[in-house]
Amino acid sequence: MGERMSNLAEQLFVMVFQRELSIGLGSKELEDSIRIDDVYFRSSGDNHLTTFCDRLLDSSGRLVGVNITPISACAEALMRTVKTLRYVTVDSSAFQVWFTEAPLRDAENNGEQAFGGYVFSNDSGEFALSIDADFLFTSVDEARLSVAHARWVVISA
Amino acid sequence: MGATRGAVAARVSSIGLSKAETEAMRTFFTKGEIGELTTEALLKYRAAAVRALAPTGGKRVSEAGILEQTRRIKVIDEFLGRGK
Repeated sequence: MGERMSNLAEQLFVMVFQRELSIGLGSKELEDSIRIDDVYFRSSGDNHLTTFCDRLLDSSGRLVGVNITPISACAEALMRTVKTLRYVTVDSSAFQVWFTEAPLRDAENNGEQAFGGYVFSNDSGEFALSIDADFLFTSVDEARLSVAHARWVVISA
Repeated sequence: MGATRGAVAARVSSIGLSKAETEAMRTFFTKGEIGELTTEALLKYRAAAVRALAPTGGKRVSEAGILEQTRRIKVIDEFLGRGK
């Protein structure tokens, strides 16, 4: 796992919104089409500013999730689709994806926000969201992500 | 309600920044370098930030995200106010 988390600065962090949260890292060179394990996902356009994505920290300052504010139609659709998943909480303008076993009540949004990412979907109607990892996550977060309550998947072209 | 949802969808669809523009925006906010960013791109980002701050009845997990978004709007306004 440690090897997979190396060189985070050059990677995309991808969340796949299945019954259980899946996460993975892929090359920043990947564009509007990616393969997640053996399934192809495509983005709905070339808009690279689809969401504002902030880190959520617990009372010890550890990464526990991300707060995602949709600012594109495809991200609005994503929010409507994933709102019932057990690792997602929603308010009317944003949703939170939790890397913990259950959502936390006392998490803090630290205001650091990612720049860019794509919303992907596949032929089965599943969604994924990419985030430029170096824009959002610190090296300290790497260890937290490696033990996130999520299944790791392989991201490739 | 359907018309309202449609209007929102149409509005957000118009906020489009390419990968290069989005990465340039990051450089602008972190280093103050405008590079090849256009006024149009700045205004698109500003519109997205304003929309994210719009009162919708929901609330963010804390105020920090709001403060950062507000800061970015101010940075854009100050830059545009100086004239590009």
